[in-house]
Amino acid sequence: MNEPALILAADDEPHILESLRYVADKIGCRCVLAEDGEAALALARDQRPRVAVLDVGMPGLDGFEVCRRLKADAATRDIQVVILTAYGQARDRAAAEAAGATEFIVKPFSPRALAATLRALVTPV
Amino acid sequence: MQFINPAREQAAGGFEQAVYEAVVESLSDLGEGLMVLENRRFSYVNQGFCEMLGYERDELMAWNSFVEIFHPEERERILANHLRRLAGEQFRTCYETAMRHRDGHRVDIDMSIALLHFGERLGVVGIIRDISDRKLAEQEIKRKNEDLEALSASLEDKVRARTAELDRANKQLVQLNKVKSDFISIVSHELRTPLTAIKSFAEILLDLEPDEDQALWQRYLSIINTESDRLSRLIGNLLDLQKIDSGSLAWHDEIVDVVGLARECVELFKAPYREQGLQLRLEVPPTALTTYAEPDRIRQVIGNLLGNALKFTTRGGATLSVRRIGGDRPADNAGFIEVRIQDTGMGIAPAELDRVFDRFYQSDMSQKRKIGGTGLGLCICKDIVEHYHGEIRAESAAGDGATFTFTLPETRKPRKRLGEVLVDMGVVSQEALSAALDRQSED
Repeated sequence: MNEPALILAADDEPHILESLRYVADKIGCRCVLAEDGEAALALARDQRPRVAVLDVGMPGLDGFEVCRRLKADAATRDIQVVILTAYGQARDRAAAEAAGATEFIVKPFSPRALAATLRALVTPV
Repeated sequence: MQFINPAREQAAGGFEQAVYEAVVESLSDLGEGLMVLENRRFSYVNQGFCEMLGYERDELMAWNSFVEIFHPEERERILANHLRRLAGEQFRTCYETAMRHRDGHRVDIDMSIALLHFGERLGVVGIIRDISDRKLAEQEIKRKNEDLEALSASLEDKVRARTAELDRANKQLVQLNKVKSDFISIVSHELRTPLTAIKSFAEILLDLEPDEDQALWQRYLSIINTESDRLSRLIGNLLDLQKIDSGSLAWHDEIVDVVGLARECVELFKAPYREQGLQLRLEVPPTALTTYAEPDRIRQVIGNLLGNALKFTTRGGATLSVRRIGGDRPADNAGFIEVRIQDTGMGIAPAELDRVFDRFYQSDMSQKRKIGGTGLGLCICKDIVEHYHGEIRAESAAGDGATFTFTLPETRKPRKRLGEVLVDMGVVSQEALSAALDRQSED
C-alpha cells in the first residue's frame, strides 16, 4: 500500500489556501500549507512534496522565484510545480515555463479541473 | 589751380595747366576731394576736399602734418603707409579709410593714392570720395543681418524648446499609458482574487455530498459571502476613484459641522473597537467647526482612517481629535479644521510612509498579518481631502502607532438676513417678505 502523495500549497490568501487543501483532500493526498514564498521553500526542502502548487503574488519570494530555486537545487528539482496566478497574461505563462513549472493555472480556477491536474501529476506512470 | 609756392607754379605748362584745373574742378563738382601732399604738408586741396571736411583751404595749408586730417584710429596706419610709399615701396593704391570732420565726426572715405615725382620733389596726390552713406547702408545691412541671425537663433531655440516639450509630453504619455496598463493589470488581479475564492467554494459546495457536515456548508457559504463583500467593496472603491479622477463625481456640498461628523463616526466604530478590546476616544471642541463639503465624503474619510487604525492596532486604541488651526485667512477670517486619527498600533515603516496614499499600496505588515483591504482606501481619502483644498499626511515612528492628519478649510455659516429670521420665527410669511423685497427693488 503506497503512502498518499504529499502536496505543498502556497498562497497568501487564506481562503484560497483552504480551497487548495480541500482539493488535495479530495484526491486522497496529504497537504502542507504555506502563506509566503520563504515558508514554501523551507517546507519543500524539508518535506519533499510530489507537487508544489505556488501562487505568484506572494509577499517576499514570489511563486516564480520559489519555482526557480526548487529547480536549481538537485534535492528539490523533481518536485512538479503548478503555478497559480491571478495575473493571466501570456508573459506570465512564459515566465512560468522559463522558471521550470509543469503547469500554469489562471485564477479563478475550477477545483474539479485542478483536482484532475493534480491527480495526473501524483499518479506514477 | 592755386599752388602756394609761386616757384612751383612756373613748373606747370599752359595747356596741361588748363586740363589739370578742369579735372580738379570736375572732381569738386562730383563731390570728390583732391589733396596733394609734400613733406607731410598739404600743398593743395580742392574745394570738394574742403567741403567734405568742413575746413577752409588756408587752414589746411597751414597745418604741419596732413595726418591730423585722418580719423585718430587711422592715423598710425596712414602715416606708416605714407612713409613706405615715399621710400619707394609699391602697394595697394586704393583703400577705405576715414578722416575727421572739423566738427569731430567721422567721415568714411575711399582713397586713391598716386606718387608724384617732379625732379627732386616728391609728393603724393590723393583723391577721396565720401562713402559715409554707403557705410551707413552697410552698417544697416550688417545690423539687419545680425537681427536676422538673432531671429533665426531664437527660432531655433524655440524649435528646440518645443521639441523638448513635445518629447517630454510624449514620454509622459508613454508613462501614463504604462500606468494605465499597470493599473488594469493590478485591478484584474485584485478582482480575480476574491472571485477565485467565490468560484472555488461555489464549485466545492455543488460537489458536496448532501449528508456532509452542516458546519462545512456554513463555513464555505460564509467564505463566499465574505469574499463577495470584499469584491463589492473593491468595485465600489474603484468606481469612486474613477469618478473622482474623471471629475464626474457629484459633490453634494453643504455647510457641515466636522465635530458632529466626528461624533457620528465614533458612535459607529465604538462597537467594533470594543469587540477587539480597544479604546476609541474623541477629543473635540465644545463648538461646531464648519466646512463646505459633502457630509458623506467626510464620513468616508474619517471612517476609512478609523477602520485602518482598528485593523493595525492590537492593544491600546485610537483617538479621533478635531481642532481649529492656522492663521486666519484674511478673506473671511476663517482658519482650517484639523482632523487627526492617532492609534497605538504597529505603525508604518519610514520607507512606506510616502507610499501609503498610492493606489493598491498594501503595507508589507498588512500582507503578513492577512489584513484585508483594497489598497484604495487611503488613495480615495487623499483625493477627497484634496478636492476640498485640504491636505492629508501620515506620520509614524514604526512600532509606535500611526497618525493620520487631514485639514479642511473652515467655512463660517453665512449669517441669515433679518427677513429670513422673521420668516423662520413665523412673524411674517415668505410671500409677504418676497412682496416687500420686490417693492423695494422697484423703488
